[in-house]
Amino acid sequence: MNTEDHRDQLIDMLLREVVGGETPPDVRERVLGAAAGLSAQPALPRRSSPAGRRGMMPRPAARSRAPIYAVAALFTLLAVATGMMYFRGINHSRTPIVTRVSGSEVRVLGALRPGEYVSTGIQENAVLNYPDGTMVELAVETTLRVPARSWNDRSKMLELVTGRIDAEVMPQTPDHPMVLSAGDASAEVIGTTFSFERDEEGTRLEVTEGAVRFIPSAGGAALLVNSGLFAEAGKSGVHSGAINVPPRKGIIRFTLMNADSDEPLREAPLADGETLSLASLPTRNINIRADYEGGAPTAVRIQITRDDGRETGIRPFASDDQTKPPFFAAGDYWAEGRPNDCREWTPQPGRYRISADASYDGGRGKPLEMEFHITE
Amino acid sequence: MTDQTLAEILDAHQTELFRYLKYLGANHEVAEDLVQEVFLRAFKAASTPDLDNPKVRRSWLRRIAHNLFMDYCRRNARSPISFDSTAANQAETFWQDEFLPHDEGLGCMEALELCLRDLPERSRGMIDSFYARRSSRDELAHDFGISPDGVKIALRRIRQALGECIEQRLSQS
Repeated sequence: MNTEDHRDQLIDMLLREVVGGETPPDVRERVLGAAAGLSAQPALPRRSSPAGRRGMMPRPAARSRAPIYAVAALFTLLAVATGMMYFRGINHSRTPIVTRVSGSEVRVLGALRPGEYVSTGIQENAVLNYPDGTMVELAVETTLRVPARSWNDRSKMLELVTGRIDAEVMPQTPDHPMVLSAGDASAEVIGTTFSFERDEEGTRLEVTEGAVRFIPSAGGAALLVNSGLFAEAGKSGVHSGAINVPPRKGIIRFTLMNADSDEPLREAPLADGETLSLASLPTRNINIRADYEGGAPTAVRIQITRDDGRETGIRPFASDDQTKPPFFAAGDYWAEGRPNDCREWTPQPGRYRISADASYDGGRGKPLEMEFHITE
Repeated sequence: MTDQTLAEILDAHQTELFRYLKYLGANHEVAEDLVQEVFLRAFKAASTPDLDNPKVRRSWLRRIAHNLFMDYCRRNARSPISFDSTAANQAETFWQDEFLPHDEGLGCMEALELCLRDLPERSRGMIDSFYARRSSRDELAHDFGISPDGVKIALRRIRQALGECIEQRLSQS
């Protein structure tokens, strides 16, 4: 907040009093009455030392300086531990855990190592979870295998031997997508909700949300299967089309706002990976609104980060839960009184990631996350 | 703190604290509640600064008010405007340097009243409509023949002009 903002708030406060008649109330009697009630209670413990009355803290005892060799040893240990954690982290992030089975026990719960299978029979299903929240659900009569791969490959990999899986994949890094392979095709997933099915006729992918790259094994171009579409490859060739998608609940898009007028800058929502040139916009004061579908969430948390870890220029508390719509990434300009007054934000050039999570009384809605690039 | 001291600092500072909280962004009701809470916190405080020094006393009370407002914003999760320590210090500095020196703020208010008289009729009408009659932006847009997009900018520009006018008047006096 710069001097102009402070001045504007000051003038606004004065106008509310001088023109709006919002004169300061007299709370004298109420406070004195409440204080009298407090005085009737046992006295609160008070500091009695002169130092305490002056608000001074006792001087801490002198600390001895740590020997240099101890510091060096600590750094060595830290380096070793960091390396071990790195390798452990790779293995941890790509290892699915069987967390639920139904019907007769198909496999003991726990981690699935490369080369291991998990199978479900008739009236059985199972759920795999990854540490990042990615979930894969096996339908009945499904067999899934974890293929072997190099020690430093972070990608999540699964091979669908037969049957059908439904998956909700948390955002993956583009260079390490989740890879699902089947006989006639494979799918590369960055983060989405979809189902993947393999039978004697072929392999079918249905995408409920996000986008998945569908790669037919027989060759030919890969298909980018977007939300609401399917693709299949098999004996009859490669096909794609629309599926019926159930209505979703949660954050569905980010709208770019003109913070000078509090109106959307355009109709089209912010697109994942989009480059925004500040010079091309009618204002440099922008904000981003998280729009929802399926009823107002009870709370929404929006976070914006920069790829290089530098400051975004957004108030730290902007990432706190917001409970009343509209939900602005950079917050409202006024804490009270004018809830639609979105706060101005002039982002510095760079790459940004924005995410929004919606909560409902009955649980969480669909989160939304994307990247965008700001240029002058 | 004695009851008598509490009464004295209430008389001396409640108006300023109310304005300070409104300046930070609190609405009328919230500011009123928080002002009461500030004095009760001060009364219950285990240690107090030098209450005979008005500057120290005033600064201490404002700090309590600021912390209470920040807590309020967090609890209500409405206000990403909430201040971090940097913003708090900026707000405090601005308040101390730009508002209080002028007869504890009364100078600013008197200057504002004079500046309002000098406003062009149309600007004055917008200010009255927004602050006194509490018209919505759409109503303002309709009444003044501008787009709803332009209302926020127009009001901000009028406040900016008033700020410059106040500054000029205060520097002359």
